[in-house]
Amino acid sequence: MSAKQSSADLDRDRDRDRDRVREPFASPDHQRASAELGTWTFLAQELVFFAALFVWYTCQRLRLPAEFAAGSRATDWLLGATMTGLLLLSSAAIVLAVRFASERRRLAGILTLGLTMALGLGFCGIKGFEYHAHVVAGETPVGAHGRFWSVYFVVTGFHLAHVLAGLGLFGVLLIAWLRDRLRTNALIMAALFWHLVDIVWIFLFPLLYLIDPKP
Amino acid sequence: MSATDDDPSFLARARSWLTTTDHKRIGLLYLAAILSFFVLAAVAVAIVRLELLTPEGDVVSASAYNRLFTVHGVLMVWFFLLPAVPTVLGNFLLPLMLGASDLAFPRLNLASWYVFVVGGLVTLAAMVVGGLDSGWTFYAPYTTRYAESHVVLAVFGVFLAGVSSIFTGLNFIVTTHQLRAPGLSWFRLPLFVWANYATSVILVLATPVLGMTLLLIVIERLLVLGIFDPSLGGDPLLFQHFFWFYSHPAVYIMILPGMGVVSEIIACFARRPIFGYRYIAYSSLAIAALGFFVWGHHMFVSGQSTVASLLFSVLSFMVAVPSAIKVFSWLATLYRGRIELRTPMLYALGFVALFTLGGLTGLFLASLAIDVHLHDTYFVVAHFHYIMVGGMVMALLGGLHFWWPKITGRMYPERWGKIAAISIFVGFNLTFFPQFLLGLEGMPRRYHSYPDEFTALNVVSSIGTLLLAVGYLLPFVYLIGSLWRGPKAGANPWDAAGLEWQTDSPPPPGNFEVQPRVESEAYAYLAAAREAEDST
Repeated sequence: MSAKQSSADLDRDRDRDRDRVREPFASPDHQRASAELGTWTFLAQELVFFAALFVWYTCQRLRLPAEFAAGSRATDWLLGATMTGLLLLSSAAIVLAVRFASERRRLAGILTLGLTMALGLGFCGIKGFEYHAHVVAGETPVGAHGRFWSVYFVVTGFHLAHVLAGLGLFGVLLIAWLRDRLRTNALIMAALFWHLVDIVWIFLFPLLYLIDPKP
Repeated sequence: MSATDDDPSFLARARSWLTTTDHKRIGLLYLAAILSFFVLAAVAVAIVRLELLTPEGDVVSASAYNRLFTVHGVLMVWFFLLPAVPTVLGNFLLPLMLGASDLAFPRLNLASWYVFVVGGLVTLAAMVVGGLDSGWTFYAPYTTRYAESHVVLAVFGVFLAGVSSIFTGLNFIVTTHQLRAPGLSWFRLPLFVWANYATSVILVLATPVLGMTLLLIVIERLLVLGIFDPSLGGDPLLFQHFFWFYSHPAVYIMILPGMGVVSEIIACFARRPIFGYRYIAYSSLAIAALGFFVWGHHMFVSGQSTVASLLFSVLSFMVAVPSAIKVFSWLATLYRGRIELRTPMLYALGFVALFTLGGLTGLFLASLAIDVHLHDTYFVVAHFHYIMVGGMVMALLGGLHFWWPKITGRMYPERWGKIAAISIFVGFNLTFFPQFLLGLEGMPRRYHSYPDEFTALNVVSSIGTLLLAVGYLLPFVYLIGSLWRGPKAGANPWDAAGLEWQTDSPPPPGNFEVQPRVESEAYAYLAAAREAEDST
């Protein structure tokens, strides 16, 4: 019995190190539930933020269907599909990392978190390459079909900013995990945010790349 | 605040305030910030009223006049009215009313204050380096192309204020869900908490649209992209839709918390449980929900389709239902109550009167044909001042007096309080009632000169401003004076129900010595009165 007790104590000590319960909360569970509710509320806010962009997109596309189809043909759907795949895989990887964190499997967790970041960086790399190619080809807000490209650059720009913010969060968490100071709650919150980034892209991909793939 | 500080240096005290995560101190930091913006905005409008004393534009130039009413509108709406009750009284009281030791995310709370102050300073910087002449609504394409003023800075400052209110709303939502004391079920919550909860839902779900819209203005202006400017392929009406999708619900951000304050005060000084508790609670949620579907009533004359206008008109009329439920519930609470006309009660009754007038004149503006005549006239100006100033400022002052003993541990001077409350009520009506008449006669808003026939009413309005200013100055003086001279308040000077009155005044860090438990409904005034009768 005493052995059981001491292992329970040990667990509690470890919990205290990792997810110290702060003032207004009664217990680790209470703190986690609050952190998750806070994150979901924040994500609701993010959805509305992007919703404004989607409304702008809808208005412009209804007014200018031909221009949007033509602009869309200038995007590379293969690159778009690749980016979609990268983000989906990274979301799977972060789910695993959260799982490993709660199982206290540090090495596996660090590897999967690293994989998430690598896939996210891959997304940014392709996006940067696309931006460069579009600008070189004169596919800009001031060129032909400029109204499509205005929407394209602003909407994907806001999305990219969110990808970069997510990667920044993961970077901080990775360093904390390497020093064995990871707070599981923080990882859960960042992972939820990453799923939102993912979901927004899943809508952006067909709306921008697949309007009319046939020339 | 705490008595154990044995006179540390000024720097150390300033440091402890500026790094505090105590919700009570953050509420007071917010009070200092919003009052500074209030004073600046009031000075700007004093010059505006001085200009309108005569028909000619003789005090300031037309362009300076435009900049002055923009300073007034931007600072009052974005940096005073919107944050006023939630960030000051809400911050201070929400954890106390819930029996919690703090908000759910204390550091986020402090961050929200810093973001707010930086936003305010950025917007002020825009005003100082040359100003802005778009009015508080930043309509495109004027702001994106034609305005020769510091739009980007001002708009970015307002964006930051929006971020700050999202932080506050998020914090309140999680706190209300997670940190209620044992026994404090949803239908035992004080109505102030319900009102702030409904407000927080609007803050979180509407503000992002404003944030995105303002960022799009910045992008359009800096990069010359066609978003709202028609000559670049943008859509100026889209701006109006986005702007009012946020800014109409924002009106309810400005009035709902005030309604919460009034419910608390009226129940206390009528010594009765609030009438129709559930109806008032639900009507807060109904106002919050309906508020998202009425923005088109700001655009009746902007060329939207008749069908859309018709729908928006009907929906706007529907907001009158939950609003009237509240007003009638307050009146029913007063009926056969033991009414004490203390200063907070004067403000609360003033709120009911002015809000009712403001609400009823809103119905005029929601009527399609009448709005064509009244749109952009002084009738609109009078209407929204009755709601926002007659409503929110009265509620803020009422709440500040009601909870002043709790916040500071000192009583304010009752006689001066009443004098100020009455002069604000009279001064307010003198200032704004003539503006209804001016609007009916067709005087447009936002002009610095006007035809001679409008002179008399404008003079009355400007004189009213003077009385109003005196009424606002008095509390500044006597409330600050009461910090030293006021008699000690004790824990519960009003004999009020509610958890916040069960702890010391001012409450200690951590709020409660022992975790409070709740075993009765809110507003147990009758039960207390009966017990007192039984014991005698």
